[in-house]
Amino acid sequence: MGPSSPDRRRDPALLLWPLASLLLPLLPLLVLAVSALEWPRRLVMVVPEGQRVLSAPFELRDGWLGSPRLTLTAEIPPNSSVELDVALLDGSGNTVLSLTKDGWRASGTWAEEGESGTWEEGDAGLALAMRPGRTGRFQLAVQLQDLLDEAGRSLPNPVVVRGSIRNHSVDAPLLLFTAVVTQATALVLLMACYGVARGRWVRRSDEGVAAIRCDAGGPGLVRVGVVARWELPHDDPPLGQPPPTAALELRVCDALGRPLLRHRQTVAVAHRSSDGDHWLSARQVIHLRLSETGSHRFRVELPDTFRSDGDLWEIEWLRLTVEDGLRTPRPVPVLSLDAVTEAR
Amino acid sequence: MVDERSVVMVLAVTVVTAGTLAAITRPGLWRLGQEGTPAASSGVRYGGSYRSGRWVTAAPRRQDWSGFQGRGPGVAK
Repeated sequence: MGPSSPDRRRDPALLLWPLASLLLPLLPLLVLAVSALEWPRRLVMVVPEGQRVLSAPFELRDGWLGSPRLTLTAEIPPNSSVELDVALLDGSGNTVLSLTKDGWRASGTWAEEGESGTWEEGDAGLALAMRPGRTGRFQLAVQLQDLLDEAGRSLPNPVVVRGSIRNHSVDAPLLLFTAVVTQATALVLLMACYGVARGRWVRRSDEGVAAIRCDAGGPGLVRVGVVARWELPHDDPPLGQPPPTAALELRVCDALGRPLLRHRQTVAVAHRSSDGDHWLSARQVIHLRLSETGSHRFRVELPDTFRSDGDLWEIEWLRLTVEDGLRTPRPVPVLSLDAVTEAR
Repeated sequence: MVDERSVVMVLAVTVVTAGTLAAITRPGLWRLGQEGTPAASSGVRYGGSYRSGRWVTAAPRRQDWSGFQGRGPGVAK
């Protein structure tokens, strides 16, 4: 048995298909983007009060690919109100739908706590979503009633009414809601696939050594996580540069205490400080493949102390985490114990 | 035994399929000739309704509408 090196072959624990779920929320967003490409049919009518004005003929399409949506906006003067009578006429000139829109527009100024500005509000538009039953040509008949100013006086000016017609509009709020719910479901799936272990064990030690014995192995990977922290025994700042790396050793033994793996590597050591405190930290994750399920002992060791430029860094704590039965969305270096197990 | 991960994946596909299809086809959308009227947006009242496939104009009725609905500068700032 000797030190193992990472096996970079594709691991059976690699699970790629859940990643496809991340594409699902794009579908409703794509439909929304494509629907926005439809160029609307524009209508412009100049409507004097009391006269009935017909729009240019337009086509309303029936079908499953979206639905017709018609919008109208009356451009009335500020501080005025109006009643807009709208009738939808079929190709024969018969009224198939009629409605009245109570429109208004108000504006003014405000002053408060030394600040001032203008405000404007209004509601002089309407939107109509429906299916025509069958594809055909239609017209709008628009008539203004009671175009009045704030004092209730009649305003003589004609009003421009602008309209737009889309034949393949979609339910945009439902598409956005669908994208959000699908994204949430995809995240649940990714969490279930990559974030849930068959077993998880944690051991925290005040020394540079920590060990866990647990039942692990079988399908998936074993993830060994090591986090350590060193501090100076006093509150003074360090005299010199801390060491950039530390030696990490991982040993794995079987149920009978027979060594299966002895792995050594160096890990990066980071120097951190906050509010006058200084400490060193190291973090490492190692993946193993244990083909046989059984009792295993995982032991990690890091230096208890560092001596560097007159500083004595002492270990504060070492946390060892072992997770069993994990899948990964991307290839990771894996320490394989298969050769050792087969040779036994 | 069914893998719960597959169930979640099927659920995600079902959600996106049902939601997208419903948003495109809009099965509940009112159709000309259908009983009643379309859903009314703010300030809209229909001048009749469909009964037995025919548009029946309602009797003319003036609403007691004050005209302006603005809430004023206090909320417009």
